[in-house]
Amino acid sequence: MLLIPCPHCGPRPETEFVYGGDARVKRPDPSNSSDEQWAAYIYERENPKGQHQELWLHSAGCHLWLIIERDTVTHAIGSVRAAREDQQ
Amino acid sequence: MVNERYSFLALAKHALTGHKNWQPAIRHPEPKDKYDVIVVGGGGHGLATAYYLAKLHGINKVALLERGWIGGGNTGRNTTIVRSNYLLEENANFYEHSLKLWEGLSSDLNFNVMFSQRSVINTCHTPAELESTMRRYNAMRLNGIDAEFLTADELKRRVPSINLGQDGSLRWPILAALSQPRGGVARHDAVAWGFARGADALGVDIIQNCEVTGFKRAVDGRITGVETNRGPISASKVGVAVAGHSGQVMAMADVRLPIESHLLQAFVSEPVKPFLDVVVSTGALHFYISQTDKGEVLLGGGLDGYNSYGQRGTIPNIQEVTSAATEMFPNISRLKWMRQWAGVMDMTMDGSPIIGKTPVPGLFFDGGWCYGGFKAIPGSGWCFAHTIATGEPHSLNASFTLERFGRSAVIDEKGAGPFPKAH
Amino acid sequence: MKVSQPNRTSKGGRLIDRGKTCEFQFDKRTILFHPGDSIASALLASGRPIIGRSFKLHRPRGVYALGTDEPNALVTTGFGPSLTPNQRATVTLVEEGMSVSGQNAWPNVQNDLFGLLDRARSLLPAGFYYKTFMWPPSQWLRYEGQIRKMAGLGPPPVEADSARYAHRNVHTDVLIAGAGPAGLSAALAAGEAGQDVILASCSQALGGGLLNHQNAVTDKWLAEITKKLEALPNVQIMKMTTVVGVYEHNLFTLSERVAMRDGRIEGQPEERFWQVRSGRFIIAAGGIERPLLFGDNDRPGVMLAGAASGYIWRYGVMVGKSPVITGADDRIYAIARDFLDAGANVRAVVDLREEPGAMADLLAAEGVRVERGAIVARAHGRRRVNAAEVWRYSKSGANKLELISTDAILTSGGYGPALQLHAQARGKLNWNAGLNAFVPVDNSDGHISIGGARGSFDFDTAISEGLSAGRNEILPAPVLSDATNVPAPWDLPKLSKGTRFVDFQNDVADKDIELAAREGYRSIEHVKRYTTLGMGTDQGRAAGPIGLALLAAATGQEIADTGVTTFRPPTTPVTFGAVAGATMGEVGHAIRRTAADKFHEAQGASFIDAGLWRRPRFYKANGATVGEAYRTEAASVRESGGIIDVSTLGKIDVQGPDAGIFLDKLYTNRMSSLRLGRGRYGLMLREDGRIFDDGVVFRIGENRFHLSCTTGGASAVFQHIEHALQVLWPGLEVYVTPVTEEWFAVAVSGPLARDLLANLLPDLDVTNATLPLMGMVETTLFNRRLRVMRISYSGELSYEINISADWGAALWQRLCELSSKLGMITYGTEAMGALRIEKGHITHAEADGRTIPDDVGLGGLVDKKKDAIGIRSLSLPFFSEAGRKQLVGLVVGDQKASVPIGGQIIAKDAGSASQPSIGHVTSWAYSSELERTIALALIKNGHSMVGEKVFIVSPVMEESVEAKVVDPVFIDKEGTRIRA
Repeated sequence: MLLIPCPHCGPRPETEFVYGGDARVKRPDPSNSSDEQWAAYIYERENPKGQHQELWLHSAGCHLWLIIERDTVTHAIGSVRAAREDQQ
Repeated sequence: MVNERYSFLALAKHALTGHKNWQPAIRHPEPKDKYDVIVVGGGGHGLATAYYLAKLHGINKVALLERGWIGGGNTGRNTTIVRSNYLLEENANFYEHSLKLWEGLSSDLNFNVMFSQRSVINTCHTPAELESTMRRYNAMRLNGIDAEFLTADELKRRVPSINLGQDGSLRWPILAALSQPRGGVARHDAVAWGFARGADALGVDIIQNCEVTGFKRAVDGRITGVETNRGPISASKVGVAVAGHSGQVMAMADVRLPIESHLLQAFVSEPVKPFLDVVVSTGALHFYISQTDKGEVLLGGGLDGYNSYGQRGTIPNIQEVTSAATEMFPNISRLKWMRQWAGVMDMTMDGSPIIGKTPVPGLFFDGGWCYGGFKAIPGSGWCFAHTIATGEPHSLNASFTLERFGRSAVIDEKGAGPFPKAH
Repeated sequence: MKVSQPNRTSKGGRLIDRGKTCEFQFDKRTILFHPGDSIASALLASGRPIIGRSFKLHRPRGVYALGTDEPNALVTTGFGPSLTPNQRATVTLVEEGMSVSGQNAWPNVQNDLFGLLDRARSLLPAGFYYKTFMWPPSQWLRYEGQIRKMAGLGPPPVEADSARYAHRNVHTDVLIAGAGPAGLSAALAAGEAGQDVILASCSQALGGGLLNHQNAVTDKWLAEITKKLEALPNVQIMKMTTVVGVYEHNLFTLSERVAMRDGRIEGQPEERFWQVRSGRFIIAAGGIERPLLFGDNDRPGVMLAGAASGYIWRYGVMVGKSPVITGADDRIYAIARDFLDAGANVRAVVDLREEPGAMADLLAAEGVRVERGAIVARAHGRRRVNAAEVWRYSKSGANKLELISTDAILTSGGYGPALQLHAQARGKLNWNAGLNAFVPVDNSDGHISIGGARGSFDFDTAISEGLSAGRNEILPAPVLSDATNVPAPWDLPKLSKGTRFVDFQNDVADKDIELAAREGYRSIEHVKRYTTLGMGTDQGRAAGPIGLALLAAATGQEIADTGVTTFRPPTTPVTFGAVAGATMGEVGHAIRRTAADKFHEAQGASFIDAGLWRRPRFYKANGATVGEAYRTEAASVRESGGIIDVSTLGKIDVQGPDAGIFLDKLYTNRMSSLRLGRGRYGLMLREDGRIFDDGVVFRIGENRFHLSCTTGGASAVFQHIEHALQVLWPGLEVYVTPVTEEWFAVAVSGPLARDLLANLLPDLDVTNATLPLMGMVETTLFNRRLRVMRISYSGELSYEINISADWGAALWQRLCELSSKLGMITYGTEAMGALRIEKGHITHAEADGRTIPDDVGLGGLVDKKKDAIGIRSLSLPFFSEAGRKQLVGLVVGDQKASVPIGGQIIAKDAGSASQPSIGHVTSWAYSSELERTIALALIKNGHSMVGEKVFIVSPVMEESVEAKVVDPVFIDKEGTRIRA
């Protein structure tokens, strides 16, 4: 059971969160993207063995969508920040 | 190189010499410089591909490269369920073909893979679940696949240890069940070893402890071979079947995949005498259960829910499955949890696999088996061998292309959308 | 019958209370025990040699070890009808009233008919089943049935489990596994440094290996440190508790056997399953004693020598009165001394070493026979050892010395560190030639092995390592000798007959490993799987290293290069019930109830689950069966009217300056243009273009909207919205709050709906002018805010009334009174479904995650001029291809026929051979208004099939009905009623 350091609520168990996958996916401008670019946005994902930037929703807590850096082999968690702050 | 046949008589004969004269089931050859086809990945899918390439397509200059030991990935860490109870026609036809291959596999390979058609049963706990499960089983029948309805009472007679929960002891009591009688389980390691022995006998070089570290490409981008930790090996066709590590390997050829790697867990109890002779699967409580020939109660559930190459168990899922299973099979509560393990699943964005060509000429890909890979082994090898040998997919795998995602022409059995953990 | 304890010593036994003698049953015979006895110690005391049967060959087996590494002595325990199979007799304490039985035997372990299998063992080498049972192919299930009966160990429990189990979750600074000298020292050092410590001892007493000996120095030390630890409030000592799993982020699982330690106390759980997050983890799990390889080394009476000493000092049990003790280090002399002190006649000490040194001479001087440079080559005696076949063995050659009669052969193959926890924590291992064992490599990431678990078996070293680890200091390098003059336990030549077992439980012998290697199974994992080495309940603790060494020898590799198999949790098996805890039934899956739930129940509602919610499916007053009742209810709604609790629909409050812009991105149609107090039906897509959810949006303030969504979709929709807001468009200033539980909601539908509303709210203007379709007013009732929204799901004149949830019951009651006066009824979800099917409204049955708006006739709701989630996907060419499944209506030929459950649709009569499905029924109902059965269906190219005949079939149930394809809106296509 992962222990996720929520910047708002403190360290909380994984069961309080919902996973949102690859955080590096960026939504292209729909009016200015080819079919290929659009489909890649929907279906292709980073899937590294090692450091992964990923989204987690603290659904049983503060409801922040977080961007967490986690190692997909050891599960060691690096930086954690609110998705909102990341992208503004 | 043809293997001696296995039989009871052979066993008796060798007993007289203390079993000291058995031939090796597989050789341990050194890699040659050049082959017609290289298959990357020594799991069930790769081994079956190599076998069918040699057996059905006459291509026996084949090298199968395995980073570790054959059958050591998901082939050796799953719950061994074989079934073809799918809703969508593409899936139904493919898995039914695979199931038919399973039915003749022990004879074909002369290796007892212990395919045991003891029924796979889906319990239904709400009217909506009954409706959707029945819809799926009706579709199966229309696709020529066996399917059977069981009332709650019939289910109880077939599976006496099950708790129907109609006294309120189950949050969602069992209303009825649907069964695929030809479904069942097999011995996972035997499948890998049987295909390996069969392929080896047909001349395939199975090379273990040989890790692919890169692809060799011609100026025009064509594949010309692979780089390995044991030196370069040439071939004009390379097929990749590496399950949970698809993303890593295909990235070496600059192919991006609609895949995330997730962890799927399973665990067993200590062995007890037989009391459960079918596979029971429940959507409402998210687990499946069977009893192995050794007597262990084998349990599995959903994914851990986040990308992982951890290959080891975690706790939340085990607890969830154990709660649900002891609820539906109250007698197992006093059994003991003996061993847990996990496999890395390459989860596609529609829950269906990919078998086919890639944007790189000469490079073929077989993967994205989500958590259904074990039962697909013969069918996948059969279709992948056909695709590699002829350069074009068979009609059975024509829909399972990589490019379908570019068109959004997904094969979404659950209708769950582009979220790998949802299928 | 005389009951006695022939092997009980006259005095001593640290763990037992000799003051009390009790009885229990073993295979229906009475056995005496003292409180504190394990099942194994009591049975050994009684002199019973055979306690179990092996897995494959059903060979008779006795107790072999002292702890969880026991491979043989597995028994079934029971209290009354409640049976627990596969209990390790060595670590299960006997309790008064317990009945114990041997297992995997018929009729019993003493006389097992399946023991004949042992005679056929030449036909049953490793992996024999892969090579046979293939002919005829159709018979495999039959062969397998027999194999299954032979396999398994104990009997499966039949009864439900009446025991209670509990979970505990805690945080601590230091977790220590093991309470020997190293673990105790670590606990003391950490505890004195002010750290919170959990010390887990798998035994009922502290001391670990110290309990296996009598020594004034160590005994005094143990007494003192125990006292100090007990005085430290920050050190929690947990006896009968095992650390069973190591997981990510410093999570550990512990199994605490409460009842066995404290007795069975009403209300107390039998076991507790702990999840502990610990800053540091100290592994002080000691060592594992290894067997020796010789012919028939599995016979009852052959036993680990260290364990045999343990039985003397822990339980006052002498496992043999005339033992032969064999090994290759000085411990065998200490053990011989233990037996002499206990009054045994030690028949011989057989030392592998040719020049063992002073200890041997001392013992020999006392008249004990000491054979130097000799080995036990075979155990004689079938049901119990009666002689040891001793051979002289040196580099120059071997010759048979003599058969020494004995009742116990005690073997000492040395100790290796217990590696399970270290390996589970992803620690690395090094091969150590001096110990002939893998040893852990020290880590800096929060876990450390100390004492025996690190290969430091010396008392003083264990203590100093414990103190250092407890203080979180770096440990000095281990003092492991690299020089080796000690033969390894597997390095013994096969001099005599008899099978040399490596894994006792699974009957894996040296020749099985050699066979595997010969057949090309050369990876240790292949050997393990091919031979089943180490796959038993003991997880190959003792067998593992020897198997490795034999494989290395067979394949010409170094042991260090062979690697080890994966160590998987749990380290010792844990009861499923304890893992599950109390999280079953409603505790695990709560029932969500609306505010009026009690009234529904009182009104005779029959409920149906909608996710975790329960909703009235129908009211029994309206009909005895669901079919009868919903027809009555639906008809009443159309004739006069009815009320239904719709509180479970998801409700979300969205506000902020950018709320309108934001909603335009969520819905395919435009919401920002809504006027205050007006609502609009809207469709949400997933980004891949498929319909995600639907609902109605009302503008309830200048910058504020009220969204509704489906019951099943509510939580996913909220996540989706949060994702859109925080991840996709974080620049927008919008605040989103889920308010489903804040409101109680009732739909009032039917021709009399307006009258009912007027009666409920006499002061409210309910005319179309104030409250037109898709209009909304806010007012008050019971001094609470009330919202009335004119929306319709049924196709009738209809209002949805929302009130603060705590006044929901009152509102429901009031509406029930008022509606019954008007001749209106209460109705449930089944009638609601029938009404919406008549109207052609979609649910998730139609929007099944594969359909796009065009498929269900809602393409007009997609405003392609703007960007909203999913709209871009709809212009991918794939969605314009022919052959899409499209929503149609079906009228069933036979007017009253039921539609098969899960019906598929085919074009030709079901009588013809199997043919492809062209679609499926998504929902159906009997329409009271049309007086016939109707359905909604998704059919390939359905929009162009209106008027055609199709068949709805269920091949599984052998049902088929004919139907005609029609428009999916069956009634009031013009919408006159909803505007009434």
